[in-house]
Amino acid sequence: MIQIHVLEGAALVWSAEDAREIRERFRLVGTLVGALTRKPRQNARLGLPLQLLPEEARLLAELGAAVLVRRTETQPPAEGEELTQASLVEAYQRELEESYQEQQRLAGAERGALLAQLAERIAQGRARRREQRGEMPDTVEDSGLLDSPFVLPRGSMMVQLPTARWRPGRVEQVDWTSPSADWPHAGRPAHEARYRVFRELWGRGYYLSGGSKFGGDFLVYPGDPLRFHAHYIALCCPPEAPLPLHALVAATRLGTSVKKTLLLCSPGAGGALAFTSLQWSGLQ
Amino acid sequence: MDEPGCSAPGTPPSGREPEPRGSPCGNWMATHPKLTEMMSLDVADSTQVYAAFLVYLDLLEGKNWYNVTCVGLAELQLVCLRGREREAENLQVVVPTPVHMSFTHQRLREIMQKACIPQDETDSPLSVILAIVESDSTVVYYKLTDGFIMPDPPDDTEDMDNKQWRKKRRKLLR
Repeated sequence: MIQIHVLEGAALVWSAEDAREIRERFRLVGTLVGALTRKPRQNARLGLPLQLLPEEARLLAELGAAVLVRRTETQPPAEGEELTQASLVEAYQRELEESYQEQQRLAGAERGALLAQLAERIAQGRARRREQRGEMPDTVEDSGLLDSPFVLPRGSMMVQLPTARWRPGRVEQVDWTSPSADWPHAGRPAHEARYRVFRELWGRGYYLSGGSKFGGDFLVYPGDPLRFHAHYIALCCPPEAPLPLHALVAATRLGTSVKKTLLLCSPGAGGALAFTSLQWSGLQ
Repeated sequence: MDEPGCSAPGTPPSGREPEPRGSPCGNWMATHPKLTEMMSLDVADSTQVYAAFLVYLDLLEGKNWYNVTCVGLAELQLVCLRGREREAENLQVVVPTPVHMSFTHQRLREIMQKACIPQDETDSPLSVILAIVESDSTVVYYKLTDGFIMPDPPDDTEDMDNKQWRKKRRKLLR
């Protein structure tokens, strides 16, 4: 069962396996919003958690594939063990020191092997330099390099920063059908309208993602967004809402200049959804 | 200027009140036979008729369309135009509208259903061209179609910036 953590209306997936399943099995894409631990100061490539649109989270919950959960405040200690902050810090420091010793040992061994490999070339270079300086050959300083003890500087140590919580926190399930502080979308007419359109388009086999970059509600792809550009910018409008013409022109013109069709979606007669495509007419 | 909508220079100032913006006035427009024909259909208000007239002129004189006729749709309160873009093509429907008129999605679909010419051979989707007329007589044309219409695929050689393309070719051939 996929766990979707909700926090003030945002739906987050922290598990990498769940994120993969969501994309491969359910054709839902989401957005990665976390910092990558090895490359934190950029946002070209982001990492977990995966943030889902409210519509995506609701779809998974409706299909019974996921539950919405929320962190509970209290953190009871597991197995009766009293874990204080200090003991946790101590354990962490101990692990760090063990890791450092092992890394030093490995680095020293590797360095020794490398020097042994290049020993002949080093000796030749030494002999040449001594001839240039006009000294006697066979001085004692020959093998000095291999004897000095190797110390791995602390700054070069590799440190692992765990990105998964080593002890899962306590969570409680959230009912997605009724509005709450962490999941306020249930029952809101705007959300319900968008969800209807989302479900219909998803049901037709499209991949969908957020459309805010192009001023729409969703972007509609014929396949995985990693392989295709979007074909449509979907705009959900209630059937009776007035559409000012200049807004329509702006949206359609934007769509034309980025090679996408604007798709107006609204509930039509008889419960079905009505879709209207808008394109530039091409009349010069 | 004093009288909005007039294009004839040197119009003598007359004693009558200025016409509302978007209505025909001045010498040659008011007596144009097509405009009087559209007005006589008596289905829409003067601003929509004036917009329809401007689009009519633009299609014939500016875009060189063929066989452009006007049709009054009473239930929609609109004057529409029908014409061919090129001599051998099918008739298309153009719905002129002044820019300040607001539409709901439902009304747009209603217009598509009622104004469209049923193409009985093919079951091609309902489609109209919406011609939006600004107060300065600029007309923009946008096509509305029922259903999902895929955008045109990009034409590779045209889209590539020539300079970048030449650079790439040079790198490839080196």
